[in-house]
Amino acid sequence: MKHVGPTYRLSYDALDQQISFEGTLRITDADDAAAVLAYLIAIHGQIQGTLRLSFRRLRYINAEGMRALSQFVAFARDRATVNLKIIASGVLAWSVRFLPNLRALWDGVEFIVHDDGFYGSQAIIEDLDFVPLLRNQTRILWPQERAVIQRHGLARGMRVADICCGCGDVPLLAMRELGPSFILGVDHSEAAVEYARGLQAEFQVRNAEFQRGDATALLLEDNSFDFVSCRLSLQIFSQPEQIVRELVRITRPGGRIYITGEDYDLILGHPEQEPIRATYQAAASYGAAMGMDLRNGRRLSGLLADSRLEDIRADHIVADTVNTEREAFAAVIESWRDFSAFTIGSRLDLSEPDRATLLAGYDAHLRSIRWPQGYASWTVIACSGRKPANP
Amino acid sequence: MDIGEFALPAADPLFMIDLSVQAEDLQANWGRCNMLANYLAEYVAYQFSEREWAENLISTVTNEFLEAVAQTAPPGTALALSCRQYDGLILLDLAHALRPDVVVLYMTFLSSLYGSTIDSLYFAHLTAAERPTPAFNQLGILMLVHDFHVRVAARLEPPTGQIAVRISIPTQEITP
Repeated sequence: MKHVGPTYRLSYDALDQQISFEGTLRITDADDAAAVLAYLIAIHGQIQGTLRLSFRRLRYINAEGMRALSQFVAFARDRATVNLKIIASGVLAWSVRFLPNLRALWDGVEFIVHDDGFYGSQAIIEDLDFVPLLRNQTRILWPQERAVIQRHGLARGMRVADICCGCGDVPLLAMRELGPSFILGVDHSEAAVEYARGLQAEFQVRNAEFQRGDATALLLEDNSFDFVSCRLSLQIFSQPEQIVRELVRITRPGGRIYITGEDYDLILGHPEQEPIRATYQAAASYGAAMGMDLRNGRRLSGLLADSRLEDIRADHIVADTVNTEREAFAAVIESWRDFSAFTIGSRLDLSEPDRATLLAGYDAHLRSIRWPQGYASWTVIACSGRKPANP
Repeated sequence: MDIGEFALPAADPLFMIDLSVQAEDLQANWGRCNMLANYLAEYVAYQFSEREWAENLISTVTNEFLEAVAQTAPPGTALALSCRQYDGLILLDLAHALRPDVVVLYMTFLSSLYGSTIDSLYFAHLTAAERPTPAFNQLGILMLVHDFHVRVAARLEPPTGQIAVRISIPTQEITP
């Protein structure tokens, strides 16, 4: 059940008992306001328990829109049969400032900001200190990924979106080397987006933009990109299918969705494989304690299949000591070591013996990489699928 | 007749933009308030590192004031809109003619924004069953004062009926 206004859409999802507000609810006349209120009241009459009102994709509201919401809260308060849960977005200034006032109208109103505590590791992933790790990873992965991403459909002239783009280096490299007509990078981290804009100015790359956004509720039009990527990011979210749903929504019919993920069981180091294996298993379990799935790569093709995509393709992107300069590879492992043993380790309050065991494996990995006869590899799993022409 | 602090900071603005539109165009096509607010906000926010937040906030502030202007300016008059950024402050100025029948009510309302009752005034307008008469987007202006901590100053020239409204947005609202 939907209500579509001149610049907004309200849709009801019975599964979640949720009304989603999208677009711009700057109501311009009394009839429009009455229609919005009537729609809300009609949904209210159909349910029990709690009705969720999600404003995560409502870019703007005006006073008349707020008045309609206030009237609806008053209606719900007078009936007292259904509670209300109001969901704001931390990227929309109006929503975190205006909506909490509705809570003051009735104690049956709960208010949350969806992307506060978005994922377990949010505070550390969205910190500027995380950027060097991302840059080190790109330095060794992009030379291998460049060919893979083209095999998965990224081609000259396309409109591309890179969701959870981090510090923006990959979209800028793709813009410069692969010739799409436009790339939009979206990330929830203010620090990462600011860094990406600085990098864009430094690289003098045109036809690219970076914006802050919530990957589970993108403020982007349906069917608006030819190629949509989400690289090495889904592992940090407990419900990656919510993001994949958004990737599919913004991809045009016939366009492709490309996602990549980790698999810590595929990280190799010779000749000290045992301590290395033990360390990455421990790192994966510590990551799990922070809400990360560091073996999510094996689940990606299933995620795309569940989204009813066609022509699903999978590849391994392998950076190893044969195709990668050893010191650049070692810099990645040093970043991982510090992140795992100290950043995550401090959060999890690791004991000194556990930290020492963890560090021993990373150090063994570094010796394998730096020893000219040693061999080490990092494998990322890449999957893509095509959005059906008639979804 | 002045309400609030109307002096400009001594320093030169770090940034400025001036626009002029016909009030009648906003009145005839209300959606133009939205368009103009979004245009100005995108242009101004471009220099902020928290660009999306800044754009959302500036557009929201501008739109509510444009919706007020569209109800208080006589048809056939012009609206001058300017935005200036100073250290720690963004100033949004709207200068236009005021309909004679709303002069007293409008100035009284703007004066009330300096009282200590903003919270109760805000909730009274938010929960009112009927819009006030005459309506000039009182709730929208209260929302901005109540939730974005903007300050509103106004200067009325009674002989001409020209009013200049100045909205001060603290920069810390944009860089939270």
